[in-house]
Amino acid sequence: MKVEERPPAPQPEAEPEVAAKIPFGQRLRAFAFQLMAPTVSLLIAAVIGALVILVVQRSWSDVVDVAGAMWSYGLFNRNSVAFILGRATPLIFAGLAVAIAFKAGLFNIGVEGQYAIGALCAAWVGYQLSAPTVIHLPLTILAGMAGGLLWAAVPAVLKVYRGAHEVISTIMMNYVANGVLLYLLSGALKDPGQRGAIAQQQTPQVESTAQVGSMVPFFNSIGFDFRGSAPLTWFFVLALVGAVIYALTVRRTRFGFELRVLGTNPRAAEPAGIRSNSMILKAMLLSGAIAGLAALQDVLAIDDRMKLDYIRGYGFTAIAVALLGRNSGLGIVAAALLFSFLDRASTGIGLSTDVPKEVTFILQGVIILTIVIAYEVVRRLTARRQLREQHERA
Amino acid sequence: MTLSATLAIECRGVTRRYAGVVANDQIDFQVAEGEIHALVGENGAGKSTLMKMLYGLEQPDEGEILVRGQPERIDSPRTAIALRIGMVHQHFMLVDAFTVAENVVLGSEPNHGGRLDLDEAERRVGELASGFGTPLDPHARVEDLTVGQEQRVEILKLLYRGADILILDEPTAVLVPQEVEELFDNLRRLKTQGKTIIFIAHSLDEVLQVADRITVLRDGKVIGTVDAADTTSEQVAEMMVGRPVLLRRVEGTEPSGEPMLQVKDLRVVVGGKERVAGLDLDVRRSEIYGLAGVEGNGQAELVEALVGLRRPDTGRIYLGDDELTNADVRTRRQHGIAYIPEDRQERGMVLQMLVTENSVLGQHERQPFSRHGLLDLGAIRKRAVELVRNFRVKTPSVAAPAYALSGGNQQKLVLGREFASKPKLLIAAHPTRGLDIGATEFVWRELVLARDAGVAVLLISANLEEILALADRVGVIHDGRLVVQLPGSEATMSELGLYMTGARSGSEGLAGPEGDPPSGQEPAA
Repeated sequence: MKVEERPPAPQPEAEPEVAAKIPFGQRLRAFAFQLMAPTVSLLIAAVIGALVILVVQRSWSDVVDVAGAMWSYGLFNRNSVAFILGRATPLIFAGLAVAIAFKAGLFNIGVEGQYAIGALCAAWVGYQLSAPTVIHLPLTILAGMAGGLLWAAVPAVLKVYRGAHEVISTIMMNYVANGVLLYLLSGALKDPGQRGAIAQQQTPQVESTAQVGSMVPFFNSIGFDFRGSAPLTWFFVLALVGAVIYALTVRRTRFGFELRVLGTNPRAAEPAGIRSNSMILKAMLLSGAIAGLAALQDVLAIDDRMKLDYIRGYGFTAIAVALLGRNSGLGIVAAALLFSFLDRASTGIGLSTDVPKEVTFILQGVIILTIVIAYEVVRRLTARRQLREQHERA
Repeated sequence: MTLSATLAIECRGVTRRYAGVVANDQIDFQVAEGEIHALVGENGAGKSTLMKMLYGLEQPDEGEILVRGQPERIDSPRTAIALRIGMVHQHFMLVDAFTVAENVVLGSEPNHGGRLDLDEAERRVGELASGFGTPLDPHARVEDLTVGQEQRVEILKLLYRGADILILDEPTAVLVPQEVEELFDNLRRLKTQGKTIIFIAHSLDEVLQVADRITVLRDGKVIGTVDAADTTSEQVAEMMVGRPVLLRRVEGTEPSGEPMLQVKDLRVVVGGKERVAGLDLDVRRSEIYGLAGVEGNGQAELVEALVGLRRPDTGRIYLGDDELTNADVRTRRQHGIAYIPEDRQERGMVLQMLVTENSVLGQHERQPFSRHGLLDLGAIRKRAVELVRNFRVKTPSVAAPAYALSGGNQQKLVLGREFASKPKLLIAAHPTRGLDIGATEFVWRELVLARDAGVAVLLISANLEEILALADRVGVIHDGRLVVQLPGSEATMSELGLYMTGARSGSEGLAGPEGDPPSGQEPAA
């Protein structure tokens, strides 16, 4: 009863045609479907924002005024584009930091503390060291990354070796960072050059060899007309490069592959030989290092020093940015630009209407809520569609 | 069983569609009163749909259903019960903390003015149970019962409600061989009491043993109804699949070679309990070693220790000449261990990721799929296309997410991927669980081909037919110990069953009268 040949049946069946790629039209449709969630959630957020203004101000004209101010000032003021791009820069870095942790299934709530420590380290290297720019600037930036990495290392190690949940430990590290900042800026790192009653808690100015230039001259040379004071620096380009590297890493490298497997199904990662603990450690450290870049624009290009008023909330906005951008490189850039625009628009509201500009904060909060809901709705719709297709094939 | 007998159930031209898919297409199906009628077919052939319509969970779009000669509209299980039709689902619906009697009367409790009369319930349940196989204590809690006993409680529930047409959905899937025997005795006993039994089945040998007639469904259509007495399992399998099927023993082309996997005195303690208790095992080149056992006897922990998912407490594991006792999963994979996990959707793949990505999972760090840390998407896609083609995985595209595939096709993808890794040792945990007969045959062939290509295959299965059809050597694991080891050609189902349930003790088996060649135990140097 020896049977070793393959089954005879397959021969008459034609070689099944295996589609190597999904047709372009179908992919386009899928992409449009993906865009639906953020679009719908933004619309709903706008409606809710309008309702809030109506309730607070009891007038329709205020709603129109706010919309008008957001539109005309937010987008078409002389400096607005420069402002939006510049202010998006730290959000892009912070958003990427949150996203890379998200990819591994980790919640890095500690970006806030990580960039603060990173900025402090960069400022210190920036004013302590004297070296030519080609050495000094990279070292300063690396110091910023190292600071963020160091701050993320504590929760990472606690998670891997002691099972401490990263949400708790990163939040705690934010408080510690705050304390360290206060202590050092009013003590060891305080600028000794200042005198008098208005002496600020800040570091000395970083050397010019560690400073990063404004991008305004470049933009003005290609036809824009920004004011020199606009906060747009070459860090913006670095942020875009970072987003591209992030996207490639996630999709095209073995590291990114393992990160995604671990993040989407940790139970399958283990049998596939993925070393979960080492991946968690790497992802968290990388997240911290990227977070360390978030505030460098302020320290090395805008203020040229580290100031005490430093906690600027990038790390928390970044969670919303990563969420809205679905952890994709392009999405994060787009989401960062949106939040930056809302920030700019709030100035417009404050300048030209009677409505409190805090209305944009409400808008930001509502956007986050509606996004979470909209993504869940889309996920369920997709699942249902898939189920139906499966039924039809079966 | 002639057609002149009165019909308990008759379906005439019953059709049921789901969103454009015809699940049941013009079904004509007749069950005579007092017969045991088996309904067989591959996954998706429409068996469940048909049974759901008989039990009122679904309604036909066309056609009519006659119960005892009367056309009836069965619009809910309540109506079905009123028509004395009862159904035992594959997953039991019992309350663990309740006693047998409480479970049986649940929903139609005897009462005195709203006060539950438990004594009365116990008396009636005891009466019912006594006419029905081995005694079942009405006071026993369901959580203390074996699976076979739980099934009897389910059947008692139906009898208590007065059902005389019983529908059983794959009743043997959860049972060990001895329990299957007992179930069949009980079914025959019920038959003599005039009950009509319809059961959905997977295993053809069982069907032939107990059924009077067999109806085969394929692609939603009735292929035919045959008398069990004058048919063979090959014939029925051919009706099911639509072509001749090979599901019998295939001997290897090569004699088994030197030991590839050697396990010595392995102990795995989980939560203070010794799940693997000093186990010795070797699997050779060109050999399929079948490890049989009732689930929960240490197989899962053994496999985890072999794959590297769990650290053994004592013992050693060798692959060829390399000791891998403390190696991690990746190292073991690199040494040539492939692993088909029991829970393929959960541990074998990432459903949200693409078919391409899933087809290299676990091998993704090797060339040509990645070089210097960069993925070669072209090579990965090529592998995926190969797998989809060779293993006939139905997918809209290799660029589709894995969740777009049906369960069976997801399984094929995982199996294909592990076969394609060119392993030295293949650990296959329940590789055909949940697969239909066509796919099962396919997996069996692949296992045989792998063996003939020199791979050492460790097959863990609760399905004895599978073990007997494939294994060159069979070991039975009970309570974390290997209680017996036999050449596959000499093992029989009933004998293995005795060892699996622990009815026969270990030492007796290993030294046993079966003439087990000592080669099975010799400690390798």
